[in-house]
Amino acid sequence: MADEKTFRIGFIVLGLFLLSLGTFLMSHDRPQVYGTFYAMGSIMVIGGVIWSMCQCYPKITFVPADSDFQGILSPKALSLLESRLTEVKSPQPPYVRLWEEAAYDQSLPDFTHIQMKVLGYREDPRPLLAPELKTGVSSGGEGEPRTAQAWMEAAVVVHRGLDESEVEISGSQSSPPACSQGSAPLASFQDDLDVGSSEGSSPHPSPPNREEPHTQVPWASRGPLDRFSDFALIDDTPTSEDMSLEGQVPKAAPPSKQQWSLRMKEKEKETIQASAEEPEQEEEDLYYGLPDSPGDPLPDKELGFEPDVQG
Amino acid sequence: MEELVGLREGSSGKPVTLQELWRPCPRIRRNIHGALEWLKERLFRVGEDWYFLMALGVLMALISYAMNFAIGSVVRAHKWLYREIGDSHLLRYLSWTVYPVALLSFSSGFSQSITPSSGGSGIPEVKTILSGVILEDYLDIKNFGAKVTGLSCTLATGSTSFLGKLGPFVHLSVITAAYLGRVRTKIIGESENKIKEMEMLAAGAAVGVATVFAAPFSGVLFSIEVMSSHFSVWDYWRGFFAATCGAFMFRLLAVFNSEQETITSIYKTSFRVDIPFDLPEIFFFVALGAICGVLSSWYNFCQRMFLIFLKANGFTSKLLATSKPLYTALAALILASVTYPPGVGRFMASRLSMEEHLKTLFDNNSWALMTKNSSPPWPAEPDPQNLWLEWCHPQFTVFGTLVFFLVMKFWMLILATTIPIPAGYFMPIFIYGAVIGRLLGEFLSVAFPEGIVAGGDVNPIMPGAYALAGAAAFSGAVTHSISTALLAFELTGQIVHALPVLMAVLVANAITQSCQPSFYEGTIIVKKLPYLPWIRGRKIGSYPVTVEHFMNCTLTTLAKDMSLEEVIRVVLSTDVTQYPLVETTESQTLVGVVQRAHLVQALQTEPSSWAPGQQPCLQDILASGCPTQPVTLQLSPETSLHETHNLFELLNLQLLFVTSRGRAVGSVTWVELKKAISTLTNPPTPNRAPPLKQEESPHPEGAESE
Repeated sequence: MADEKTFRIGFIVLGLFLLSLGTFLMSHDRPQVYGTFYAMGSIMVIGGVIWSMCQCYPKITFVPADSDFQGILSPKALSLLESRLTEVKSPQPPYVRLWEEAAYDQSLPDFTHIQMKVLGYREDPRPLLAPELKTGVSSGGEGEPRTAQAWMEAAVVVHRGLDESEVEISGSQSSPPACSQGSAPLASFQDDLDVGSSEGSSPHPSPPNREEPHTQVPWASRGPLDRFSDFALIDDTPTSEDMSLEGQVPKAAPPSKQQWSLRMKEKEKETIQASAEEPEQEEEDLYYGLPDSPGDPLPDKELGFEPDVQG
Repeated sequence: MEELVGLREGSSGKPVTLQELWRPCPRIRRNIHGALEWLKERLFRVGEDWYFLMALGVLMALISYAMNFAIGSVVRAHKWLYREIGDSHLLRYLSWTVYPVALLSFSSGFSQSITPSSGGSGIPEVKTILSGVILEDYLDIKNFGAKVTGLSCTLATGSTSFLGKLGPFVHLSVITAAYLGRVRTKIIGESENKIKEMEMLAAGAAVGVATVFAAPFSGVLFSIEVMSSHFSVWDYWRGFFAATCGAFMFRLLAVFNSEQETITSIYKTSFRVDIPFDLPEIFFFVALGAICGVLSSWYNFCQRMFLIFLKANGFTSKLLATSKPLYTALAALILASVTYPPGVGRFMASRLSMEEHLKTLFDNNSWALMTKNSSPPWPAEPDPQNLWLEWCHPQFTVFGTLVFFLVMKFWMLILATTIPIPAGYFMPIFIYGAVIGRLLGEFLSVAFPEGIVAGGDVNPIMPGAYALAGAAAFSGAVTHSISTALLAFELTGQIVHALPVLMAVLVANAITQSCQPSFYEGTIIVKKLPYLPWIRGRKIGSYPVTVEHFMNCTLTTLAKDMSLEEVIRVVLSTDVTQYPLVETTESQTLVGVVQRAHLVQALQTEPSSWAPGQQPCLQDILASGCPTQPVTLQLSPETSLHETHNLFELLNLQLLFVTSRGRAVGSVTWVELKKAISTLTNPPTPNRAPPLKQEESPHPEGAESE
């Protein structure tokens, strides 16, 4: 997240500062003084650089497992996404959702998969939950050419988004109408996910943030799914029983869909922003020891400590 | 985004994030993680705050020292240039004036370009933040670089601009404290806690003052007095710990740099310790306090009036709005021209730096007595052994120099405080007070050459002690604080004059606090920051102000018996984060609060299990799993503004509902409080219908002064 980037940079800057201070404190009868400063400074610089370099993850595409995973989605994800929602202020490009639609559109050629990889989602692993979303999305009945066109647009937007600032992305974003249909929430998810008290309990003082929370939950459930658009291409057999539940259209008034879709874009924007901050990924390491069968969960990897990423 | 979890097949244990699983070098990563976790376990057993406080103190001390070092190098370079440039008047004048003009313009341009709020002292804004108001972007880390650079450039001009280090350094320290607070939150892994954040900021403010002067006691006390409206004992401990670490590190670095042998005070004095003063001198100390009090009221008043004048005057306000560096350059040119040593600066001891000013003023000899018969020649350069000779002029004598200094620096300092650069305004008033004290001391030493108590031992009067008392009294009166007395002692290591200095400070404060708001409060008033000053039991217009005068009456409530369509309409047409929940539409009895997000989610997941034809209302939605929070704290329309403000401050609240006999009638947030405050400080003209009653005092400064 953005905070961690500032921490890394601050760490390196602090190390450089200690090094320069040690240089000025150089006095020949007290070598231990500047020795200490040099040592600490160089440790911090090297540590910070290594930490920054280790933030590059391999590009991951991998097959979602069965629906058992759904329950494991941590509620922290939702709170995180909600907090992200409140941070973002500008509309996001709908490229992810359009990618989902495109992915589910069987008429699209396979190079979309490669295309997406090139433009690249970074460290967002995409497990299983993508399928539901896509079906729900495509049930909105978007026209084919519009989707394709929006998708093309979205590709450009994403690429720029990874390199440039948010402002330009919001400027380039020009296809909000495409999202209007995608508001079918995932009723199945909302049963599973514990949304309870994870929303920010303290109201945000700044007025622009007030718009975000009202769509946090439906889009929060979509959030993790949206990042898994890649996997839709691999997984051609969506869990159709979940799909059927997406048929429900919420009883909310239609104009609200527009708002919600905009909110979703903002959340996606946040996702991309966060990924944009990580260094660009080389694409050769696509499969990090991925098993073949779709039903298999993650391959033999470390069960490391769950990092403390809090909302 | 790392929250997407996955599970390795066949492995037990909790799911880890997929990002974690996919990182390179997983084994090394796991080992490092394990080692860090173990370290965290061991270290944080005593509570993790202490490490961060120590880090804060040490970091600010390093930064302070590095800044002093860099500034010292630049000043030495300028002195060398001035010395080597030759005898041509034009060249010397240019070298004397272009240097501060260039530095100050750069400081102004640079810091303003990065963030416009970086100018001036940071203490009024820190004061507002510590009272609970959220000033967005004020504690951003990018302000840090702007302020450090700007402050270094400002201080490099030395006594030409006559500005100090305190205010911006406190701001820097608070920025660092906020940053370290975020680091701490991330490492500990808990959710954001506003109370902890505030604790860290309060400690940061204390550290800032302490590391500027290497004085932990007065640092903490000064930050309490000037910057906090309420201060818990828990913050007191933390502030002291961080301030001590900072002060210790600061002095230690001086030892490391071979500037000193061991940790000593910054301004060493050689006052007599056994009989520092005669008893009748206490009367003169108190009189000095009174003089300082009157002068400081006058100073505060003039400074505020000048600020208002600058804003009101068309030319200067336009200049300040469009091109701040130009205004800075003009002001710097004026200041530098006046302090040009071969010119007028001769009579103001302008070749001395700020530290040298203090060192000479705390000199324990009486200059008047020493120069009574002989008048030493003006050296070509300040003699490091006899810096006090700068203050001696053959015709004007010491008195003339001191008086001229007082007169000229009064308006020059006021002009310097209006320049939009990051600068501290404490050190200049400290020196100004020392000059006042010195003047009185010299006068007394000439009047009583043998000391006051004739007969017995001769204890000549030490003007240096009067300078110390004057410095403490004047600066304490300007900032409305008493801890400057302690600061004077910590700076000089001289506590034998404790009682007279304290009495002088008290008298000065008593006079000033009844006349004028403090310097920082004046800035708050002029900048209209949302800060409610502490008001004593005077006839001030803010006590009759109650909640019903300023609350937000447009309250969208959701009644439990509202139909779903109505609920949806309300939800979509407003965008507040939480809705007050009332019993029925008629009774409007406040029963709880429902979050907008929960409500929206509940609305979307309407189960189809309701019987068709049944009219669902909000009650059913709530019963089917939308959580509501009870209202634990409410305001009444008769609650006073001060009580409300205290509640918001102490509990770090952002929103409170107002109920009258159970009925929800309004809400109060910081927005309404701010509006009420600004209406009090600047009452609208009677033509418009004022929202508050007319018994507010028509003089904003007088009303808000204590």
